[in-house]
Amino acid sequence: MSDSQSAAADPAGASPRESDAQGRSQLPLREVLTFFVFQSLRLRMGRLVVVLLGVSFAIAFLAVLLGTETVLTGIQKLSAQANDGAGEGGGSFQRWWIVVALLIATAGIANAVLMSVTERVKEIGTLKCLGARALHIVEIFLFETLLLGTLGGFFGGVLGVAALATLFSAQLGPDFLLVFGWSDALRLVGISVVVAQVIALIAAIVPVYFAARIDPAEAMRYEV
Amino acid sequence: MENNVTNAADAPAPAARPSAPPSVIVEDAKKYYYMGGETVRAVDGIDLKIEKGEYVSIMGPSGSGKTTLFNIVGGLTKPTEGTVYIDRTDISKLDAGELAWLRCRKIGYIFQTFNLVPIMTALQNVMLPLIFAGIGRGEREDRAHEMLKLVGLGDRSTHKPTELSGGQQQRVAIARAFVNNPAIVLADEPTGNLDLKTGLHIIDMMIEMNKRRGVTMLCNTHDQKIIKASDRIVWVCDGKVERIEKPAEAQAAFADRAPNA
Repeated sequence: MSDSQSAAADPAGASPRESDAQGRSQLPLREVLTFFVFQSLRLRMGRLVVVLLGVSFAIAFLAVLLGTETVLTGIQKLSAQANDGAGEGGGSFQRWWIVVALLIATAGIANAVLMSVTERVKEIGTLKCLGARALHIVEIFLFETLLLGTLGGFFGGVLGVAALATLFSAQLGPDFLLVFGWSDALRLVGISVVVAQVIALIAAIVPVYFAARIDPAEAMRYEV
Repeated sequence: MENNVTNAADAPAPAARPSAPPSVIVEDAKKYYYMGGETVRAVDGIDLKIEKGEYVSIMGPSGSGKTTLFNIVGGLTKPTEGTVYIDRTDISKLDAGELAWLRCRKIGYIFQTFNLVPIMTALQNVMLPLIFAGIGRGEREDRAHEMLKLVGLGDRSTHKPTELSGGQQQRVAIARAFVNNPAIVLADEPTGNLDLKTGLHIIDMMIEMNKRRGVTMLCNTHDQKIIKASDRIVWVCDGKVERIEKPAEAQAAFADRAPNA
């Protein structure tokens, strides 16, 4: 049967409402969140709490190191005012600790996403059968990871600030509030969230790439 | 053998409107897999024409190429050679995005293992194809509700798949497959995981959908009850169409082969 013949026949059978010869399947952001991301996170809460703890601790570590720098420079300024003495800056080796902490957090998130993808191969295949495009699969997993990163960043930031406050208020007493105010705390939490989001996105690249490439025909034969 | 194929393909199907073009045309489809230097001819030159509204069953032993044929018709696998038309669209010419749209709008799938999305309620599962089709929120919910009522699960819309029995899950899957008013529904051993009684119920439901909505059905099955209800039975063996029969003939053949069944 030639193309022209097929094209010549008019849409007798098609339902009248939809002119659907050309089109793109859709998945609005709102549905990505309400149908997939939130429900998936809720369902996998147990395991995600473990991942979240790991990420939070790594980010808290980052927050403490960054905060310590703030506090130390603050103290230096105070003491400079008092006796004109000059001190040297915080150790640059701290940056290595930060890198290590972030790598651990990245590995933790990557592992969580990878598990989420592998146990949902069939679901991904089904979604593709129902009309999902690769882009939609990417969105589903990317937003899930991003939410995970945001939560981890927020909890980690808060945890770090709390640790910092406990640590230094024990040493400095009320002077601590002179060198570390609410704006510093907010800035620290903000940095934590952004850093955690960035590493979440980096961690998601490989697993999400796999997820998007899943072949629906193969996925249907896949046994978990 | 070839004679049989052409004859059956030319014969008008009872449910088809004579003017309507066929829902599915498969022309000399071949699918070869290359494994370790060997060529596996999963589908080796199949011609098939399915009229609109027809109910066709595919039968054949394991490894005969049924599933591959199925995946080719469903736009899940690209044939190595040959063309497939779904509702007048040559699907080999479509890119990934267009294929997704075709799967969304034209094809419904029913699986042996139900394959509902486990994190979603029955209603949300039925709503999924409507989301992909870009149907607005209100209409989406109404239509999904309607479909669930139609399959007798109006009161189970908020249940998750794990809270439903196998038969109920398959009914949700049927609702999901038909909710977008597809041109064709592909069912891969829909009763394979169900007990006899539940299976019968599912079969009745699919037949009713097929007849009432005029949706073309292609069903991959071993189930005699489905065979009885279908318009034609396509026997596949070694990647080729062995013969195409009417239900009565197939029943006789079935009885010959498996007298105990």
